[in-house]
Amino acid sequence: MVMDIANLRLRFDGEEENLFHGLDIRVEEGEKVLLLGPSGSGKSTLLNIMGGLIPRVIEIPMKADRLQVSDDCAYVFQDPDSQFTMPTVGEELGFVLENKGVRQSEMKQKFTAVLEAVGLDVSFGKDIQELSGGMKQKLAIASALLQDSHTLFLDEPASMLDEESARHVWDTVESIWENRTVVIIEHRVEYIWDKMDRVILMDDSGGIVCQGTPEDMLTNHGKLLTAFGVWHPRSWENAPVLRRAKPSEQTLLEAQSLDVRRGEDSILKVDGLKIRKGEWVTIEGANGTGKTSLLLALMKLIPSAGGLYYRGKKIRKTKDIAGGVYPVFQNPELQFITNKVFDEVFINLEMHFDKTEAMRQTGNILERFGLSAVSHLHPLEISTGQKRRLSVATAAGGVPEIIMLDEPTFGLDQRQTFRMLELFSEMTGAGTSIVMITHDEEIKRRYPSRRLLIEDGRLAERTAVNDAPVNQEV
Amino acid sequence: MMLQSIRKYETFVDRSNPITKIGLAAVLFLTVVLIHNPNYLFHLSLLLLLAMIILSGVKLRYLAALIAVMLLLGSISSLYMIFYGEGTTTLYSFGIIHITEESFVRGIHVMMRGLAVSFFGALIIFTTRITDVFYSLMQQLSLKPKYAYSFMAAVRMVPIIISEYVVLRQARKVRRALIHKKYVTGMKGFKTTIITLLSQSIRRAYRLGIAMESKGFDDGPRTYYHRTSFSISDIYLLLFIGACIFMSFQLGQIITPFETTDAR
Repeated sequence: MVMDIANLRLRFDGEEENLFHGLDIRVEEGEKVLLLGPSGSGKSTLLNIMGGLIPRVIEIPMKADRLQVSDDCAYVFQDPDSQFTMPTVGEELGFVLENKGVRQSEMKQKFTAVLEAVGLDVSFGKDIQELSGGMKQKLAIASALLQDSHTLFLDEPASMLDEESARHVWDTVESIWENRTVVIIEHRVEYIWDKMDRVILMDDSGGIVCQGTPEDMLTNHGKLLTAFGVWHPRSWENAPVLRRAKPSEQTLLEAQSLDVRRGEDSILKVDGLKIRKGEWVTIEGANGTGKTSLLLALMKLIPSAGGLYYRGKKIRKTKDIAGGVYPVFQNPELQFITNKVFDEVFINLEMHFDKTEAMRQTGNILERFGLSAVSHLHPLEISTGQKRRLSVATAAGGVPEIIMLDEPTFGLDQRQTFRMLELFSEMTGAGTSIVMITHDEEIKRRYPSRRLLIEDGRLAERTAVNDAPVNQEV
Repeated sequence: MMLQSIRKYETFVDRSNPITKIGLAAVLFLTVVLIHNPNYLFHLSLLLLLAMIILSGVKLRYLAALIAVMLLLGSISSLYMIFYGEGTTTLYSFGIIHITEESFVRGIHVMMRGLAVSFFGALIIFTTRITDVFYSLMQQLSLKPKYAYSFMAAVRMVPIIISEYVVLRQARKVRRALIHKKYVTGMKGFKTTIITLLSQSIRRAYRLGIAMESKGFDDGPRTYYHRTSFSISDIYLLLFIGACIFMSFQLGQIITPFETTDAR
C-alpha cells in the first residue's frame, strides 16, 4: 500500500525543538527506499511512524495533516539481542504465528518455508543464543516474512555484522523483496545503493535535504552527502591522506607460542608476535575466528599457555601489563566508570599529572575527539558515536604505549570515522602503537603499517601493506 | 539450555506437565512437614535421592557435586537445632552448647526434611524447560500471555546480562592500572556497576517491548506452538511419588535407624 504523510510535526518529551517541522513523505507501493542522515536526524522515528508503532505503541505527541501509514508491516531491528522473545528458533517463529492465531498443525510447514527463503539451515530446537550475529538477523527477517506483510521496515539490520555476514543479509533481503514495499535505514550502503529506487537524505533536525535515484544522488548531491557525514559508495574518495606509521625498532610487546584456550579446546595459536613502538597493526579474520579472544589473551584476561612479554618482562597477570597496554572493547558502555564525560578522561590523567595539568590535558583530549560540547553529560546518555569516541579518548592520555581497539570505527558515520583515523595517525606519530581489530576493507588497505590475519586458528602475517598506493603518502 | 549439556537421557518426568510437577512439589512439601517419625522421613529422603539420581538423567559427577553441596547446607541448617535444642538426655555439653539426644534427632529430622524437598526440587528443575512452565501456565491455568511472554523474554536476558557483567569486570581490571582505586572499589564501584548494567537492560527491554508489539503481540486470544496437556506421564509421576511415600511408611516400620518415632 501507499504510505503518505504530510506536514508531520513531532516533539519528544522535554525537548525544546520539534523533531519534524512539517515533513512530507510518500512511499509508493513496491518502492525500495533508503533513508540516510546523521544520527539524531529522526530516521528511526520516521520508520516507527510509517509502520504505526508511533503513536500506537510508543506514545509521542505528533500531528500531521495527512497520515496514511502501513497497517500491514514487519520490522527488522538493528540489535539481534533485543528483538527475540523466546529461547529457541522454533519458539520464536512460533511466537509470530501464535500472535496471528495460526493453527499449530500448520506452523512447522511455514517455519520450513521461511527458513528456506532466508537460507538459514538450523533445527527448530536450536538455541538462538548459539547463532552468529548474521544468522540472528536472518532469523529476524524470517520472522518478518512470517508476518506475511507487504511492507518491510529495516532499521540498520546489518550494522552489527561483519562485511561478509552483512552481504549475506542484504542478499537475503533482496531475494525476498519483490512485491513488497521496503524502507531501509543503513549506514553501510555500498551493497544496496544501486538496488534502491530512491535515496532520501535527512538533516540533523528531521528535514529532507534532497532525494532522488541512487545515480542522481551520487552525481548531483555527492557533496551534500559528504557534508552531512553519511556513508555513500564514493565516501572513500574523500578519505584522509595520512602519513604511514613509521615504527621504531623497539619491541614493546612480544608473544611466543601463545595458545589461547577455552576449556579443553584451543581457540587460537600465535607462534610469534611482536608489537613495536609506533606501529599501526590491524588484526583481520572472519567472525568467530578469535580476534577478540586474542586481545583478551594479550591482556591476560583469559587463560593462555606460552610466553608473553612487555618490555622484556614476563607477564603473568593482567596487572603486570595493564596501564602500559590499554584495550578498548567493542561495547563502550561497559567501560565507563564515572558519571561525567569529563571525569571519564580526567581520572586516567589525575594520577600521572598535577591537577591543573590533568584538567588542561583532559580539555585538550575532549576537544580533539569532538566531545567538548557533551563534557558535562553522563557517559551513558550521549550518542553511540560519541560513546565510541569517548571510549577511545580514555586511552589517549599518553600514558598507555599500546592501545588495542576492538572495531573502533564500528557504527560511526563517515565524518566520525575519518576523524578517528586521523587521531590514530596522530597517536602513532607520537610513538603510541595502535593494534586494531577491523572488518573494514578500506581501512585495512589504506592505513596500517602491518596487517595480521587470523585463519584456521592461527595468527599469521599478511602480505606487505604496500600493495595499496591509494591515498598514501610515502 | 545450559542444563541440557550436562544431561545424558530423558525420562517420563521430562514428559509430564510442569503443573503436575509443581503441584506434586507442594503436596510433597506438606507431607514432609507433617511427618514426625524420623524413620519414615529417612526412607522418603533416600527414595527421593534415588529418584533424582536415576530420573534426572544428569551426569553423575555433576550430581555428586550437587549432593555434596546439599548435604553440607543441610547439616549446617541442622546444627542450630542440635546445639541449642532442648532435651533431657545429654550427650555432650560445652558452654552454651548443649547437645541432647532429642535435639540431635530433631536436628537430623529438620535436615532430612530439607533434603527430601531439595532432591525432588532438583529433579524438577533438571527435567523442566522454563518455557514449558509458562506454556502450560497459559494453557492449563489461563495465565495472561502478557505476563508469561514478558517473563520468558526476561529469562532470555539473563545470560546476556551475565556476559555484560563479565566484560564490565574485564574493562575495570584494565582501567584500574591508570586510575585511583576509589573509583572501582567499594560502594562507588558497586553503584556504577549496577547503574551501567541496569541502564543497558532497561534499554534492551524497551527495544524488545517494541519488537514484540511490532510482531503483533497482544493479550488477546492466541494459538500455541507447544501444546501442553496432561498425559500418561503425569499419571506415572503421580503414582511414582505416591509409591515413594507409601514405601517410606512401610520401610520405616521395618528398618528403623532412629529409636524414637516422634521427633517433636
